[in-house]
Amino acid sequence: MTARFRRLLAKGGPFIGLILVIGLFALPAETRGYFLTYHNFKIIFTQSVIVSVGALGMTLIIVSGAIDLSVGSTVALTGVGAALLIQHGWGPAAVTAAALGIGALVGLVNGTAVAGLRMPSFIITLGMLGIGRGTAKWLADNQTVNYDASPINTWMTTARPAGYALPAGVWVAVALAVATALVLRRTVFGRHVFAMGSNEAAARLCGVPTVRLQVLVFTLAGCFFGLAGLLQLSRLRLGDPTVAVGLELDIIAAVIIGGASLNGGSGTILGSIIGALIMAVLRNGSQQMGWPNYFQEIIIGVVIIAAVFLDRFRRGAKA
Amino acid sequence: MLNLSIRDNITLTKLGAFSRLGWISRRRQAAAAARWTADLAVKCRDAAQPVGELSGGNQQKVAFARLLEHPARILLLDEPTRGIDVGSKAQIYALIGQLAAAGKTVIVVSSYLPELLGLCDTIGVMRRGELVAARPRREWTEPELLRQAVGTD
Repeated sequence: MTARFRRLLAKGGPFIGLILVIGLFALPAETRGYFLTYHNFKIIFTQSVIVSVGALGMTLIIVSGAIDLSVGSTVALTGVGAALLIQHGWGPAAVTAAALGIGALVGLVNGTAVAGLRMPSFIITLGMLGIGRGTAKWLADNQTVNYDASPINTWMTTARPAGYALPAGVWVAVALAVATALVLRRTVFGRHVFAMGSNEAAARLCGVPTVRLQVLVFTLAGCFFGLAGLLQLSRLRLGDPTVAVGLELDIIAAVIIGGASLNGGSGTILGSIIGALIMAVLRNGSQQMGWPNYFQEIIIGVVIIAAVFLDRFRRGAKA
Repeated sequence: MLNLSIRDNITLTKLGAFSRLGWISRRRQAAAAARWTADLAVKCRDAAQPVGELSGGNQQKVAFARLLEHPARILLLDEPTRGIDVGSKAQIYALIGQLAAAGKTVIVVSSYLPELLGLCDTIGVMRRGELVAARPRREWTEPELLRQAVGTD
């Protein structure tokens, strides 16, 4: 295999995967009529938004050489917190700011613990997975938090806006994806994140403020997870402390399918978004094929392993 | 920084000088990368190529470029030619010679004696963490260097 072909695969790998899974469901007789319609893709985009927004934050964290297992708990905690604030009569702007704040706070604690206690992010965020979930249940008094109505409820519905227009949540995700990609590629902060993930000790010797950077990465990612929590609330229309269990694994899978390495130092926003879309397409298509839930789970599991295997293959044996 | 591109590696230690309000100027970065890859004859596709794809010698040249981006007067090089090919080695020796001729102080740490005897003005020998001898090059031979390093007569 030539180097040029390999580079093409490395750049287009996740994209080829997305086209393959779309083709998989576009051809069979059961789904041919509906699957490729605009309306179905409107649903797929909307369904992928929560994982996509989470994947933006997770890409930052994974590129920096860390991992965050507490995303599902953060999403539940944010949703419960936001629902309680809506009950207290807060407007959408204030609730949004508070949700981002809750997410950032969890991220700040994670990042400070990882950098300050010099402990693996896997352990710290595994702890936070329990702390966040417990706090959410405590705040919600172990029940769902209901509220009358809020404009936030319309951000994630495919019924409104009707027709071809996409719901607000999709546009927010697109705008944030573009912004995050630019930040990672073209700013000092972004390049430092790659340097730290590539080789933390060498980055520190090159003057990268690794402690501050690690805290900043987790805090910024926390804002994304807080937003994901708000979007989850918008979809459920109530605060549920038991929601999004295992969401972090879907998000990590999207980032990995998108070509990031768990060793840190590599990964792209575009890849992660495509990873999220691949999973959303698989879910949507499997449902239309009438495949049972367990079958979807098996397929997604196989896709994760296949994606990483192909990724290693296209990077060449020495990498 | 094997995952990073050549231009990012060269400019990493002083990205502040290549950016405004945190936004990196690709133009200035490219200019620095073009200058160093030409000066040091780095064999590469372009400045966006990850350093991990280069040969050991070319990786070392990029590391040199990162160092030389700083106008330091004293350079400490720890095993600058370990594990790289003969051609790159010769280029790095020539470069060290140029730096010294330009008035910089270059300290080379190496365990390869012919390299030291070919390169240095003064050679000091460390034994068990202490400097045991520092003399001009012409007073040294390989056996004498070894004798001082091992500490037996």
